[in-house]
Amino acid sequence: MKGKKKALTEPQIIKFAGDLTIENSQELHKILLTALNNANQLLVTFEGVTAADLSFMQLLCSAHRTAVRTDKHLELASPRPGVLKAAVQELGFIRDKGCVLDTQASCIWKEGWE
Amino acid sequence: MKDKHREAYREEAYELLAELEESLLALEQDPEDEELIGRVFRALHTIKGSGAMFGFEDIVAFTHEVETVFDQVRNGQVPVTKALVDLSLAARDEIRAMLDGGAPEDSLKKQEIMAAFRGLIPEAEMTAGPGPDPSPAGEETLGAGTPVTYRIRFRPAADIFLTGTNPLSLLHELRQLGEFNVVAQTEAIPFLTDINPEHCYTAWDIFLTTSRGLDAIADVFIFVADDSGLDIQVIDDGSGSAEDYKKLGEILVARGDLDESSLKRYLAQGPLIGEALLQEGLVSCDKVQSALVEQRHVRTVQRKKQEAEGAASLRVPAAKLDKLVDLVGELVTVQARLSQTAIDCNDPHLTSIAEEVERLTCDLRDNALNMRMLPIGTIFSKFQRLVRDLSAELGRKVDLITEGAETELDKTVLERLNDPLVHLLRNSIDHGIEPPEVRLQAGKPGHGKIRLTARHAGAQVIIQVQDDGGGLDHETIKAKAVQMGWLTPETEISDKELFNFIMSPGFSTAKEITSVSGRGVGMDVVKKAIEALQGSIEIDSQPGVGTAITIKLPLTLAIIEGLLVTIDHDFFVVPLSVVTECVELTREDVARAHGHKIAKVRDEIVPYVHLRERFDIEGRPPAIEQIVITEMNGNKVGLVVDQVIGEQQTVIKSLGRVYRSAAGISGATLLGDGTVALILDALQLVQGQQAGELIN
Repeated sequence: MKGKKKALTEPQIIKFAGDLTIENSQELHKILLTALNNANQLLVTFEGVTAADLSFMQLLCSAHRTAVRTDKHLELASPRPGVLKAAVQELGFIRDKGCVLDTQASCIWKEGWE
Repeated sequence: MKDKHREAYREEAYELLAELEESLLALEQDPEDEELIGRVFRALHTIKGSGAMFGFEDIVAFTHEVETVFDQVRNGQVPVTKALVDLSLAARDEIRAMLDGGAPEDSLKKQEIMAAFRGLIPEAEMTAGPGPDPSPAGEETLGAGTPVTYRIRFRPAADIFLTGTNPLSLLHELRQLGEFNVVAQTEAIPFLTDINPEHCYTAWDIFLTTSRGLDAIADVFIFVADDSGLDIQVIDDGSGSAEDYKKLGEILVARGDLDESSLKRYLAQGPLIGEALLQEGLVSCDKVQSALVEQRHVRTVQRKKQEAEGAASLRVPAAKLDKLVDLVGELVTVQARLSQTAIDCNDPHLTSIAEEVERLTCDLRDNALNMRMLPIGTIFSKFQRLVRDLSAELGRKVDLITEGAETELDKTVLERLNDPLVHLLRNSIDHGIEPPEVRLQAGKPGHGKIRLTARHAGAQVIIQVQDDGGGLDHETIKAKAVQMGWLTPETEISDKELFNFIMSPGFSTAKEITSVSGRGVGMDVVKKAIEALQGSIEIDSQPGVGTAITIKLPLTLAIIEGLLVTIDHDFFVVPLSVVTECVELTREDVARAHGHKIAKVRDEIVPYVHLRERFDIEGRPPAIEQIVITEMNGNKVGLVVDQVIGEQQTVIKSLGRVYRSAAGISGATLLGDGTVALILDALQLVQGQQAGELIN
């Protein structure tokens, strides 16, 4: 797993790669937390992701909620690797509508997972 | 009453046995296919379950053994092998014999098969013994027969990751049990500042349709159930229909996510209850999403079930349909009389009624005939087994490929088509497809292929049996024809004419007689059977490439389109399917032919049969006669009549016993005024003429 941050230009890009699983969840948490503290706009990319599990889905969901609450913007880039799409589908995260916290109508689980 | 039910069971069991056979043969090709294993198991289970209800104890006891083994196969404890498929096919035949009442109570074969199946099960897995399952009927139905839809609400403990369990693998296991949908409940996921990334905050609403029962579901959660929230409810027992499943609001009320009074209040506001509830924040988005998925899941499952049942939604005895078609036939005749009377009376009111009746009768006729149409696939599936067994017996390797199984044909035609097709397939395997070593030497794949195809072409169905075997041997056929005295060695003859000899009675070039073919009966029987169905048969073959036999059949035998003609005061009908055109025949034309019965039609010489002479009808023909030109097996032959009246809906009535042997006549029909018209068998007339000429 690795997550490289670019310089503090906007939007900040977080490049996730490798295994996005429970073993690395503490580190992934820190990367997202730091990025949200330092930037107003975040773009998350997934090129080179080899595995993803529930812990990462929870972190992504949490990061998006936090961004919306603090009036920031978090967006997931495409293309998204098959392993990630499969995990999102199999764990039942796909949504027709965003949740009550999604005041920006930018729910990350709505599109791009089919 | 009981007999009626037993008869219904028999009919259902025959269908299940056909499905069982088909699935077993497919399983032999793909032994890992879980869906096929499931189909085999379900067929056996239903045969056994329903058998117990109608008192077929012997079938129940016997099927139990087979079912037990397939339960083990389903669980991956017994592998699918060729031996298992062979044994299961033998068992299928035995069940069939028991259904027919032909198997003795305790036949040796039955005992052997049962013992063989018992031998396949590991000792520890043996169940209490044969006979109906000891569990009560209701439990059995819910447990492992009818698919039931469950809503499973699963909230794992927060520290589930720390125990080494991955929730995703639990969901995977559930997915294996049947139709599956899942919605994650994410409300409890905290903000990034508060989250413990190693904790589980997610719960799931899972919708699962399975016939494996509650225990199978509970087994998945066996290691986590103590620490997790788990609630499993049956939401559909498989008895409802797709349209009447609960509405969104009702689902939320049933789950306790919304109270009844709130639902009523929102329903009064308008139809989009989901939107309204979300806007008010009364029900969370996750819960609405979950209810929506539940609704979609149940409706999809129910729709699939209805579609599966739709194919055989109503069972009507064939005799009733035959009676219906007979009555429609009578009606068509009466309608023709009505139309004729309306014309004679010249009354516009009556004409208008007659036209309306004509339109309705036409629709009714088409519908009634359609009801008797059956897909040819119903007999195709039997042939897979035939080819498998025969090729094994003869040491050939043959794949049967069928196409156009959905092509429909009248039930009567279909029933009478079975034997000719069996003959043709047998011939292809025995004479056509070479032994594997010969094929390999010739640079062909060791596995031979027989393609059995069916398709519609206008009012006809074309069925073809095509093999990639050695093809017909011209020289051997010619030598045999010479030996039989049908040809002189010098005669020049086209391939098509030469191949026709193999359909003559007594013709066989097989050097040895096998149980399959070589006795010189077969192709002539096939030809007669096809001609009896008003069809035609053609052979095409190339040495080393293979042989194709093409059969053309009319869609139905009950009512045909005919061409009404007259000779003197008598009426005749020529089936329109063989008519290509009508031309005039003048006395000058006859004189020009110098006594030969041939006419020149657009530079083509067409021989004709003079029906007035053929049927010994007295009187003088008109100065200008008509030739109805027919085409059969690629040959054109004319039928000379006095007058051509026009097209006629012809309800075929069979001739009485006394007239049945009359050559050239295949039946009779009643005209609008009650006059009888004879239906001409053009092929027989032409053959009769040729035979007569040969004698002369």
